[in-house]
Amino acid sequence: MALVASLIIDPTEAAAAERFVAACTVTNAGDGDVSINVAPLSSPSLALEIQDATGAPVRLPPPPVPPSEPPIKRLEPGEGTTATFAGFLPSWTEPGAYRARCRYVAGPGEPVVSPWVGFTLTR
Amino acid sequence: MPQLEAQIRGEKREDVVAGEFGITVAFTNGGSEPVRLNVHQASHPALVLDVRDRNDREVPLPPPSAPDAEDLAEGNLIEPGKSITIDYVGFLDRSLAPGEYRIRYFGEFPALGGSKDDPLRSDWLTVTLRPERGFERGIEIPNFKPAPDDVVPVLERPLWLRLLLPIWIFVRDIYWWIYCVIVTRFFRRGCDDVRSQEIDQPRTETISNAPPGSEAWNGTYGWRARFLLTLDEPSCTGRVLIRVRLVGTITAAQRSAWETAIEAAWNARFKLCRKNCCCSDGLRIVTDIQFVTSGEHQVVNVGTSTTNMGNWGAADTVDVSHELGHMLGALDEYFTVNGVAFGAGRQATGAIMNNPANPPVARHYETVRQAAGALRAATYSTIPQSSSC
Repeated sequence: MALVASLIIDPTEAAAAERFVAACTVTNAGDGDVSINVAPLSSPSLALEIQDATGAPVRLPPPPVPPSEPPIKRLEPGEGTTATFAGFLPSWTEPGAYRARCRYVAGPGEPVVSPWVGFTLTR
Repeated sequence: MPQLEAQIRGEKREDVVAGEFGITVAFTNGGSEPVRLNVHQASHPALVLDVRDRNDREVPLPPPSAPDAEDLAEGNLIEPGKSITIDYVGFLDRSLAPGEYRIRYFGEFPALGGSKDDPLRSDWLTVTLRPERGFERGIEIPNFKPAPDDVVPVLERPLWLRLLLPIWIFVRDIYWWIYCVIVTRFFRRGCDDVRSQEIDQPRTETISNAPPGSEAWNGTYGWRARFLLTLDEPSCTGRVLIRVRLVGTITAAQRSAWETAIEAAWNARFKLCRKNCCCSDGLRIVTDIQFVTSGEHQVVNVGTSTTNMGNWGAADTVDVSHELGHMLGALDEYFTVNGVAFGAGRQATGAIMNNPANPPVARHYETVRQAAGALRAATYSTIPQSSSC
């Protein structure tokens, strides 16, 4: 399975945690169709990995109870699916510089991750 | 004179509680042309409410949230003769001294119905804040213990204890009856104590052993359980107030549906019991969610589906009740959480932290129970409301 992940955070600097919006895209970079479970992209708690300036993880609230049947989506070659998370950063987050990456956990193996993207919470 | 008229009213004016008190302002278009009012912007108390103390000194309110797109939009159109209302709740800081205060609507910008030269103002509404009773607010609770991070098994009592227990309970009840007669009749102890405390507890949980397809759920999560706990003897309630500031678009009907679903899930189920002369049948646990524009305990982003405690689906009335459980400090109960195995999520018989469609159980109020105990320096137990204490 040749999946690649990318992440966009907009804006990259804001005075309120609720302003940040993350868009996490998982794209089929292979030559054939791929069926993926999109449940891991259903919550920022599952799909985003965030660290502060020291590299310490920023914990997000727990994800929702998982669905009984995993939702499956078929991706053609070159096709991607994007999950948008408005206000993904908890309101109690201290001001500072952070970085995040999109993480798609397809199974027991290594997750597909995007490059890190920096953003700053000012106040 | 502004085309809009603003009328202010409060259901209660005497003996009101700062932090919980609410008012309503009705805006009526008395002109012959439609007029605009940015309801979203006018919902920020700090931008439009003028609060004065007995000596006419201005009482500052907590700052408004950062402006969002709706704050900057052109606002709502009010047709001639039509009215709209805005509710303001919890805008008075709990640290305010008791006494008389005056409040009025005061909008001095076009988005708020007036201008610098010709502001839109209502009449003054005079209210009296009640004196602080009981526990001083905002201080650390002594001996507060965070709720345990796992489920403690209930041990079976030995036979001799089960036989002696009814006798022991009888003797204890007689003792308490005599004690309470002395305290209430001879020492005139009234049942009028009201104590409040803001609770802010960090919570973490680690989910493991997620089955294939749900591996993404494995991980460590963190959040803060925040609410205002009020133990109220006159009404025999333990009130849990959660103020939520919403970010995003939601209709009044959807917001009302959230409130109804949440309060149906969490209210009228359990009570806090301890041996006491007042409220001998316990304090009913009442959960109250209030939607505010500032002074919030939690921020909730409104979206198309519920994705965690801080992101709720506008049309969802099931999973939001589960997320409120996290706000109360409850942990998830599916897969393995902090070493305790619960099995799959959404089991038919699972409680709300496993299956959001089902009601909570006593352990989900554990943070509330612990906080109540610390507030009274006593030990409470959580008992179903239909049982005797």
